Amino acid sequence: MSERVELLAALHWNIVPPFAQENPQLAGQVDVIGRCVAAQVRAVMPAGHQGAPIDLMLCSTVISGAITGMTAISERLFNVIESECRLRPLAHLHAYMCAGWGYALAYFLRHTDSRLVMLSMVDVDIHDLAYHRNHTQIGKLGFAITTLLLGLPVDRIDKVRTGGPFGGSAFKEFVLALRQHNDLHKPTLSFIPFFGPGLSSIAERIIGTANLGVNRHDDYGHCFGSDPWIGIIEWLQRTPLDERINVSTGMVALSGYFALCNVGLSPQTRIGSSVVIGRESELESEIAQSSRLLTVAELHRKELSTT
Amino acid sequence: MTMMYRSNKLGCGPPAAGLRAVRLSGRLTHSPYVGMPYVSELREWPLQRPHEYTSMGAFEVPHDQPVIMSSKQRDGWLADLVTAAKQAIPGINLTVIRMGGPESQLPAALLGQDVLLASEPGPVVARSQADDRDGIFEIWQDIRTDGYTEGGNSLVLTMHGAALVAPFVTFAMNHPELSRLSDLSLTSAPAGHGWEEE
Repeated sequence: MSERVELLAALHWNIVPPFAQENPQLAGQVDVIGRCVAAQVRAVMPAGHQGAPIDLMLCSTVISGAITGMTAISERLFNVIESECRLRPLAHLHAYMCAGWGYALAYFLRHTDSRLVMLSMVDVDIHDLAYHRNHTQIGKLGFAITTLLLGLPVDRIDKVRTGGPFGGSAFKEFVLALRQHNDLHKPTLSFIPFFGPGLSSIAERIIGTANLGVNRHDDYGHCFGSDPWIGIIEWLQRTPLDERINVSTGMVALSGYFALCNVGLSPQTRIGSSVVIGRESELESEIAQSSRLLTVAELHRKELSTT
Repeated sequence: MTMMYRSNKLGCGPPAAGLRAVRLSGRLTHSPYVGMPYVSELREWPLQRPHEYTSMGAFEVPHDQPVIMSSKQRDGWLADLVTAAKQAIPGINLTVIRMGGPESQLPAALLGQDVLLASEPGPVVARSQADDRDGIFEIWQDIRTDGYTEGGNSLVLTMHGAALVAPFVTFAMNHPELSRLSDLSLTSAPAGHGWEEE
């Protein structure tokens, strides 16, 4: 039995902005977000799942404050998600910014007996602000909705590390904590945020470029809490696995917090990713597609059979 | 719901035996930091294009209550409340606080793994209770700040756990910050999922 957090499934949509601007009414945009999340939840749900209801938590950085700060809007989002996939989010975490998934995991590990959780990182900009396309410290920003299905171990102690608040950006503390974390867990690779060269060069120097997943900042920009999970999905799409391995996932919120987790991957981890244009018609088309995720083993068997 | 006390001065008798949860509610009408200068966090949104102004109009909603604190002050006030409650009531295992989007850097007391900042605390509390967790301090707040979230400057504190009811009542009756609240009431909360009965 695994004694670490296991990534069982992950689905990522890279969403090309602007998001749902054809009819930019808040209620309609929230409905689109809800249907996107619900479609991802349906896709990562284990086939024929009959057990206890799976817990779902939403985590966001760049989502509108109207969605997490105005009760009627937040309720609307939860209602849409529940009606579309029969799973109602427990809560939406916004205050922790990009590190939200770490705090969500810490909650489930310490304060529930949950063995299966879904975390959905929802970062689209319904206001379509030019300000949200670029960050002075990070560089280019990107948008994403990514949903994870994670298996939690019986032993709950010290499975996720959260830290903060730190002065400055917390990036230095994050990288030093990652080095310490890696000394302990000996990961195959570490997946960290996609940042521009100013910050990423620090991580490359201290952790070693060869020990890090590919930095996709030039292509996608920083996609908030989704980055390390995008890195994992793409790496698994390139890399057949013969056995279970462990990787480090880390995230830093530049307001001064970080999260680190030792995550297990296996040939049975189910993955999927798409680039979706943010127009409503394109989003609805992606929502409507039956997106059965492939296991890493299936993906590479398929590749072998076509080459 | 059985009313236990209703007073602006919470100087009443002990709570009824067997109570599993107790709730204090009230409203802040004045800043706890009256007379102390502070850096305003009222920021101009970096809006550039016409549709951005139109879209941000979603936040233009009428408010009955004034802004009495900056977000940093609010977070510091909540952090002090959490710290004081944990010192006074050692059985608190988890504190769940209603908190929307990011405004200022969060203080350390709100970033521990025994605290969760969530859009709505009730379902989170109920989820932990379903797995037999007890000693949960639920803070529902909608204190307005210089940011753009809605709010009525109200505070509803619910202590879940039979063993913590009496210590919480003592804490609430003696905590100077809580005595500032207007419309103060201390009531028994419905057992278990208090958030459902609104």
